[in-house]
Amino acid sequence: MEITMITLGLITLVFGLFTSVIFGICIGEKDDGAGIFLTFALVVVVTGFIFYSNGIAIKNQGYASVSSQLPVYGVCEVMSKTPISDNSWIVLMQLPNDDFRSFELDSEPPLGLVKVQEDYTLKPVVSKATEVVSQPISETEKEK
Amino acid sequence: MGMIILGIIILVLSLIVLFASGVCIGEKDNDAGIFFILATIFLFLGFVIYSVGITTTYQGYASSRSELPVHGVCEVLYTSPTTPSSVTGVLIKLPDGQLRLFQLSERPEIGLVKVQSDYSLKPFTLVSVIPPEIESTETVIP
Repeated sequence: MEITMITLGLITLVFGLFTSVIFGICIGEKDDGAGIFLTFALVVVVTGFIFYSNGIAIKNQGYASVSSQLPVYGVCEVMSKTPISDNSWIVLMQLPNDDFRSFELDSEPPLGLVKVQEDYTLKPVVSKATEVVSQPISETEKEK
Repeated sequence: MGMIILGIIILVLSLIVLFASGVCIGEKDNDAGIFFILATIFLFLGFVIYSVGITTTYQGYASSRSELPVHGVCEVLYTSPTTPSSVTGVLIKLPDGQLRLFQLSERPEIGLVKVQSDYSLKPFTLVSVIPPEIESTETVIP
């Protein structure tokens, strides 16, 4: 069996917890030497925890995320969409902070710039600049 | 993000209670047993909440190249256009059919690729050779 970071972290974590409880009982029994071992056991617990966190974060990174992780009211760019079944699409998006993230959505999104609505649906962004250009010049002059 | 913080708070609190009940057990306090069991349950609960939180927070973001399946044949579905940051987001279909996003330093060609032992991608071409034996057996059957 391949020892991954997750199993290593879990083993360290359980060992640290077990020893910290044992040394806790020793302190209750007025064993003065147990204090230093307890500190050591707590350091082991924290180390195991960090190993486990790192392992579990790396293991799931890259796989499609759920739609509730979309940034609400953020303007994102849909880079690609791949259908995987009748009502699920793997969508690669560029987030407002330029990071790429893949999502699994249940409806087909439009390609290009989209704005995330409150209910996590995507609405295409229509550039305001084109509307201004198409307006007749006479109207803007009348407003002046 | 909220789930991670909630999980860590539950974890730390139950760890303190667990340790304190351990000391009480050592002092021959008979009521400490129930706190010890409760603290263990809450420790497990906090751990699960934390794990779910950290999984959903990092899911979807580009993974590093060392997570590529070595010697596996994958399909490059999409590569992001070149940006000044010189890293490319690559959507790859893994051998088990799942799609995963990777961040690579060089742009691979779209299509079938084979992952080398140094995690580099090499274009993979399917060579279809129809063995002549099939034709001969077909003629023999009738």
